[in-house]
Amino acid sequence: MSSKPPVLVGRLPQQSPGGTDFQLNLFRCCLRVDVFDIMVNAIKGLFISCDVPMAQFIINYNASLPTSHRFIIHILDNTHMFVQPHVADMIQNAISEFRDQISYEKPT
Amino acid sequence: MGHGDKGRHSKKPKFGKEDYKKAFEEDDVYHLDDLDDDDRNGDKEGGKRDFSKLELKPDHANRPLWACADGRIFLETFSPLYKQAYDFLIAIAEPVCRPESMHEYNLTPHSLYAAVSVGLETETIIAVLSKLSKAKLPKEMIDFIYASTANYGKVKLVLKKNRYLVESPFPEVLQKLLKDEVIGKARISSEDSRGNGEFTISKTACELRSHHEGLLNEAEAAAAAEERETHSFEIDPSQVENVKQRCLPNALNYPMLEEYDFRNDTINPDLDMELKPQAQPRPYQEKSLSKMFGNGRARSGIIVLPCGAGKSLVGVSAASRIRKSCLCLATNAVSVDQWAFQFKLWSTIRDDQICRFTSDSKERFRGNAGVVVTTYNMVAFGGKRSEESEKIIEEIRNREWGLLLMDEVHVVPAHMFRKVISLTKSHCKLGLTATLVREDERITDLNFLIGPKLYEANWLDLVKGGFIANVQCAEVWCPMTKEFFAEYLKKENSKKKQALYVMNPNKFRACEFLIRFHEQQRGDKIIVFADNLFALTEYAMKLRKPMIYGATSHIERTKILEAFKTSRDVNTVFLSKVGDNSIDIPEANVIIQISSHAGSRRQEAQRLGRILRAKGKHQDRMAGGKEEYNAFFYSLVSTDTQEMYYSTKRQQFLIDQGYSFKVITSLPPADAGADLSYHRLDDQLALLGKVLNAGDDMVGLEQLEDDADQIALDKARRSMGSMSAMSGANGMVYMEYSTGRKLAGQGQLKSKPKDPAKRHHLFKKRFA
Repeated sequence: MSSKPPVLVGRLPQQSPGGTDFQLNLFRCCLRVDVFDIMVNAIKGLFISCDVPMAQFIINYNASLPTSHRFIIHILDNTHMFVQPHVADMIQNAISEFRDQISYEKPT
Repeated sequence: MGHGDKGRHSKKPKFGKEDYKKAFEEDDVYHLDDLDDDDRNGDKEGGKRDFSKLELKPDHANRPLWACADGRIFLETFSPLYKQAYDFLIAIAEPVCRPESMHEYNLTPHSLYAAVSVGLETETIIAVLSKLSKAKLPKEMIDFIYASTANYGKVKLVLKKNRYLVESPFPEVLQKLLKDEVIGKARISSEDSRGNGEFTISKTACELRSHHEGLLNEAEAAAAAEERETHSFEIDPSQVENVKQRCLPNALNYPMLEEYDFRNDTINPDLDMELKPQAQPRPYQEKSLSKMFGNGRARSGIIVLPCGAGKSLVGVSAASRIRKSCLCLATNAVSVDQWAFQFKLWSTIRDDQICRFTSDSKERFRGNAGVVVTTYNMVAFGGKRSEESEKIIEEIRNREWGLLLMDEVHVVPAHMFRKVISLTKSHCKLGLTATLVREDERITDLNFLIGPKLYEANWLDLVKGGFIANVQCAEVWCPMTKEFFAEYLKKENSKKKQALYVMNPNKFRACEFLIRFHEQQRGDKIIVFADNLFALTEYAMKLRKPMIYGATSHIERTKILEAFKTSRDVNTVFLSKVGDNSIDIPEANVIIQISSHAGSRRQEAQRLGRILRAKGKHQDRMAGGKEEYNAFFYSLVSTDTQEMYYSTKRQQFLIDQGYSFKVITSLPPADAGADLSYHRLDDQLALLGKVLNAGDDMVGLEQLEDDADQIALDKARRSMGSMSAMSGANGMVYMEYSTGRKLAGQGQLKSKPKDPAKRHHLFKKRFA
């Protein structure tokens, strides 16, 4: 892998129906293009844009999986990352489960 | 019907965070089943009920109530009849939720029991209800009221000459009661009465009769003439509570009437005390007292008033109306002093008639009647006592008290209550509290431990009347910083979760900002609450403010509070949960809460109570006055953490009282920058390191294992541990023999001759 920053190609972000106090935007069908000295190596993936804590949550979730299942390809900065294309639903589920744990509903 | 009500009551959150969702669903199913049983129609779909068949009365617009078949009642607060309707409803039903324009109430067997015990008759209840209701009263409700109140007043529990008697004019009722296993066992068949009786060997009915005559011989002639036809049996004092419980509507359904005819009580000496003329009870205080002394007798029960609304005046007034010996129980030594002070302030009681009994001051009153103020711990303490306090406690035990006045009844663990009540014999018990909620669901126990709820004030009405402060409640959302949240999520840090979200630098900055804003811009007095001791010390040290926690000595406490009250330089004080109850700081009008006791609704309300005492001029506080809000309650919450769950839950009680919470997301403002602490990443990381390196014992002091579910947490915390922490002593001060050691450690009293009370018990005999 080269040390040059990866170049991202993709569509506009799509608002996820996640929640109110955090955002999780998924760029679907992005391409990561690593530019080597001579040849170009392209990986299809997902570009995630979210707030700081959610990025940490996803990183932690990724780390909790066995190595073969880890999905983060590149952490770009505090609020952006590039992941495997098929994990969108999985992440959404993990987040909504996490959110359920920390929200209280008054029993009626 | 009654069953259906119970179903609704049990639907309170008592589940761990993992399974609470699932459990609620199950609960819903259970509830619906119940409803179907009740109605036999089975056509009701979950939650949605069809009320279109209800027939409206032609002048329904003038009537303020909606009554539903399942016992729920809705009250329009904008109706011209609101005041009257409220007074009536609060007497017969349990308030569920009281926002500004619409109140919800619930008819339960307990609430009806309370209604009849304050003197309302079945017919009156139904007549008034149907007069106020917009539609015809549902038949189910009428039946329910009849069923719940029919047996009331048939059985009486009286205290005569230190013996508890169950009385009834109907021998068949007593027989029915005796057939119950619990009551049968609790009965004391005293030997002498059997010997005196004409029927030495007899069946239950005759035994009853003989019993009753034997007792009458002992009783006074006057009483005998009057109560010729009452039958009674004696019960074991330690079993009184169980017997009462068996008699409640959900068991045998013969709720016991406990009244004390204090005017005609000539056996117990009168106490010469009266309210001073300047003590003017406010309208709601009058009302609560009138519920208690409705028919010229004193009833046992609980009066619920918000903090700062003048509970102590109600207590003192009750005592001076009964004018008999009074035992007043408070939660800690500080409030004992306050109660003693209140007694002297509001009544004409002489100094030698009132005495305090705590570990530090053991006074004894002269004469044959008086007021004793003490703590629950002192009375319930099971270990070895000093000789002196042993004597006093013996006196307390042997005396027949006219009034047992119990402060903050909601905080006392049930077992301690039981002990206190079984130890002391009183004709009438009055419980005072601000918040009748507990996470461990022990509130219902109070119904038979003390008595029904006599009166509950509506917070918003008191705010409108200017009797308590108008509080702006706000929840401040502080996002976690990247590093703190990363650590928070790690499994190995599960025990430090609380410390991590409390020490969140964004929260710290928000707290610092708020303190600055209120100190400098408004000149307010601020209390900061933190349950987590680690956080408390960190915050207080960093901001250079005084703090008080469990281990802070009494002298230091007084000094800090004095400075806070008088000095212009000390405007902020940090309190751990010792400050939740009873530390009286009337000057404070801002509360910032940085950490809390999990999801405790009671704590939230108690903390709010610290600033409820009305300040400023009366007319300014009235609706439409100069200041809209004169007190502020901030709860700082780290978003995306467990704290969000707790915080929403904690607010429930206040929301039910009609308060609304404003959510603030932009604190501190973005331009605050380096003015506030922890602006730089280095500082934040240093703080993080500190939190992570602190031992579990330090950080987790207020925290139990995360895997325990929440109700278990609450139970565990609410037991002895929390009580002693609340009293500010961690238990040590109340153990008589340990005080000496503690004082000696301070070097002041070292040279004093050893108090015989503090000698090792092996040496006691030698010196005695």
